[in-house]
Amino acid sequence: MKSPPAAWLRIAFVAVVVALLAPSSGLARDDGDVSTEDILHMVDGRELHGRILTETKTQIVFEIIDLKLHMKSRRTFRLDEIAHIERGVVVDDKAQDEALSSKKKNDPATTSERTSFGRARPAGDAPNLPGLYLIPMKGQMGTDIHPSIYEKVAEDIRLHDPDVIIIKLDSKDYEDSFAAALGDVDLAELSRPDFDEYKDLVNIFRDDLRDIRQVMWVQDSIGISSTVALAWDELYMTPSARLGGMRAVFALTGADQWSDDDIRAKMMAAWMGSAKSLLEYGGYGLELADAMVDPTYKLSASFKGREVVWSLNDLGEFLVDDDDENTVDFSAKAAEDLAISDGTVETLDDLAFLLGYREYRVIEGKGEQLVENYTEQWRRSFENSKKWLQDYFQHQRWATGDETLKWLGRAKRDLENIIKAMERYKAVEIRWRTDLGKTKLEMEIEVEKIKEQIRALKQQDRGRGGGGRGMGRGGTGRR
Amino acid sequence: MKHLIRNALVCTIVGCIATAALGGEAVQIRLKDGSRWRGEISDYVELKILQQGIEVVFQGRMVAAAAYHVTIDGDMAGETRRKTIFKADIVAIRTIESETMAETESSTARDRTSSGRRSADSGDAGAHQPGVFVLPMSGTVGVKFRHEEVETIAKHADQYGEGQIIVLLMDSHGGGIEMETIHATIMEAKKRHRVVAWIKTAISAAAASALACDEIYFMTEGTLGAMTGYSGTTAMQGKELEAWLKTAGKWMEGGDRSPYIAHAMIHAPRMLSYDKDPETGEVTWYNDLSGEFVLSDDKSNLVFTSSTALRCGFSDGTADTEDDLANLLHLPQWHEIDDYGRKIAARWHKTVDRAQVEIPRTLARLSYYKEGAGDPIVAIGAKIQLYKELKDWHDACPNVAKMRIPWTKDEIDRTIADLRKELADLKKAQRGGGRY
Repeated sequence: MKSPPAAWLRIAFVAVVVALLAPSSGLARDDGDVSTEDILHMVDGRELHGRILTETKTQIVFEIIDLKLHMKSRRTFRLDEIAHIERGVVVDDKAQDEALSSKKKNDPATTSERTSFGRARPAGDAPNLPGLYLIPMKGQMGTDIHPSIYEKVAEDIRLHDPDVIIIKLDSKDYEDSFAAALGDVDLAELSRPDFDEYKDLVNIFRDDLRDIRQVMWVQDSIGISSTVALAWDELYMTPSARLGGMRAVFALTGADQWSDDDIRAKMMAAWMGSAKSLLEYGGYGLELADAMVDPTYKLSASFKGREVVWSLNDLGEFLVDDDDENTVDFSAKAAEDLAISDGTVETLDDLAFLLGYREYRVIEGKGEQLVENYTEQWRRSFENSKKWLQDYFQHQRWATGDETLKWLGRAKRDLENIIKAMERYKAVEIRWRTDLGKTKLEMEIEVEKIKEQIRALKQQDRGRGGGGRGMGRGGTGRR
Repeated sequence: MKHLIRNALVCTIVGCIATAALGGEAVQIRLKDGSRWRGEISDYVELKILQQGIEVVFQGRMVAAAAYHVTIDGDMAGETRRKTIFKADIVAIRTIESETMAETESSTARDRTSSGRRSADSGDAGAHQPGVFVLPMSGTVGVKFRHEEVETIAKHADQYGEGQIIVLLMDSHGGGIEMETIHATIMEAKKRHRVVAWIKTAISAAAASALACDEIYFMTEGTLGAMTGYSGTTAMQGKELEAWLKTAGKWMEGGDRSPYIAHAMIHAPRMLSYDKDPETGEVTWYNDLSGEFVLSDDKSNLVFTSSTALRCGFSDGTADTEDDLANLLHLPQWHEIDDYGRKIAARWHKTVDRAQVEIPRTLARLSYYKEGAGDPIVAIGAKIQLYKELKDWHDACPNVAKMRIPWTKDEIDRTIADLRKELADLKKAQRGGGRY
């Protein structure tokens, strides 16, 4: 991962710390619960201090208060994650003061300590800290975000053996803008509705790398990427992130276009099944997929403790969507309130903290670079291939008279270049098919036709007694 | 997916071989909290593992470790058994003294201690272990997904005696009515072997094919359903529809499943719901919405996902890896007796892929010879050759040939005869100096 310039990092950190310190300095004392705290002893050995906010038979919503860092965050824990609970433990004021003083000493605003390892400074050698491997999933679903590149990333992940994989998802069919609302959407950049490939993509992580903890961190997700995001049970969002935008899925697949009721029901069920199958990995209610993909559904939620029970009607305690013409989208806040997201976090430090890592290191793997290079290269290759098509048309036009053979040869080469680009990048082939309506096979046949033209012309030349070029031969050109 | 599964298998096999060869091999396990346990094969360990949300403590001797799991010999329900534990399920692990383990064993079942050791030490157990044959079935039903391969793998399994396990790994969005033949072939194979379906995608005709299996397992992302029959833009109606409902219903019943499930997968107005006895788990099906759990209303078609299929008992379990499936099949570990099924499937898929590219290419070549470019004798000779190639595809890949070649074999033969005559006439004319 690229590090931001140190100065910017420091400024950003100071800003965060100032923001955090301001409300938190009186946090414990002003809440009227200053002298006691609850302690969760987790089965994995962690000891979390804070307050139990709500409690059900299966879950506890807990506000973690870190005195050293003056941070608090809300987490939901299953009871089977907790070994035992100490309630109303008296807090040692002296320890609090020490913690506060220690915090001030460590404050990067007053010192120039390196802070890129998380909320707290590393206590030991960095290699012993939990390693986070960040992977971008950015751009168009089905081309930029394609299993072929993530297979390579998975190899690099295995090589580095991280403690946590964090997938930063940023894929949107349209911007959150007035222009987009008016229909300013690039249709060529919409998600490709190829759920089989998305299943393969999810398999790479959720099956092949399943021994490694994985977190989906949604930066923004509008389109089919949202079903992919929901394949992860640990999901966090940035404050400005959206999750949804799948109204076009049926239009893209053509599933709802069938006039026969039975066929339409079949096609919609098949496509919806594919969308739901991804949610199965994340363990989310499948009604979410119905409401997020099919505009005809309403959605409401009822709460059993922290567990959300979804209903595809308006009869639940909390009405999420009563519009039967639009699909359901979630803001970061709504997603968190409805327990789809585990939390809303702006920075990696915040995310790591919520994941239970006060200290961590970011693994400098090749993943980010692989993804960036791939996207940059296939897109450049695609742009080039469109130019080669124009070249091909031009060279075909010029292929007359004495220069027929010469320009036919060039035209053939133009097409061969396009085919090579398709072979190198599946994304190029996909975009040729969808944007330009041409398949690789059609291009190959076109090349063969030109080859045959060239062969016939050469044979004709030989038949005329092997006369050299420019000997007044006319009318042999094609097109 | 196929190659991933194969890779995983190779890893597993390599892991097993390495384990057998290298007793005391170092093992490292990373836990969810970032901590690591380091030890060796044959260490005695105490593990806390999460099983369906419940923490279970388990002691035993580590006999194998692979990328995703460890294998432990320990005491389970009063018997020494081998257990595969996924690393992701381990909450905590610590090394314990062998005496501690021995004490535990002796206190619970003194006379089984030796047998436990025997089991752990028998590194060559794999030589006689039960295994499976795997047949990947993907692509369009009736094209890549055919009955011939099912028949072939069943015959191959016959060589190892009756009662072999054949896993049909299904990944298909459906296709033609070949499913009836596939269904019959599976039913025939079932008379001699245990044939199970493992579903990634089984939609439409693929779903109907899977119904022949008594045991159906899903991958987490598995889907099965949407069996509506249609032609062009019209769904089956009237007698055709009734016949299909009846047949599919019978197939469901053949697998001890409710025919109502098939009906809800075929015709949208057919509804489906069920009740589940909380104590016995027994499921009662309804062809209306009166059950507690509604699977399909009168406007929807039914497609199961892994959880909906599991909850109502349609699925026999969810498995994402071969090891998962081995557990569900009650096998000590995943072991493929050979890769014959994978090979025949790959060979056939390769043939189809070639046909799908080569047939259109040959047809295109024919079209430019028809345009009359070049020497007519050369052109006719080339055309004869191209027609012969098309005729060969009718033999090599009849499924694709039927769809893509506009002529039957007989028609091609007749065309070739015409071309030969034309060629002979031309040559004759040339020899005689005549015009043509």
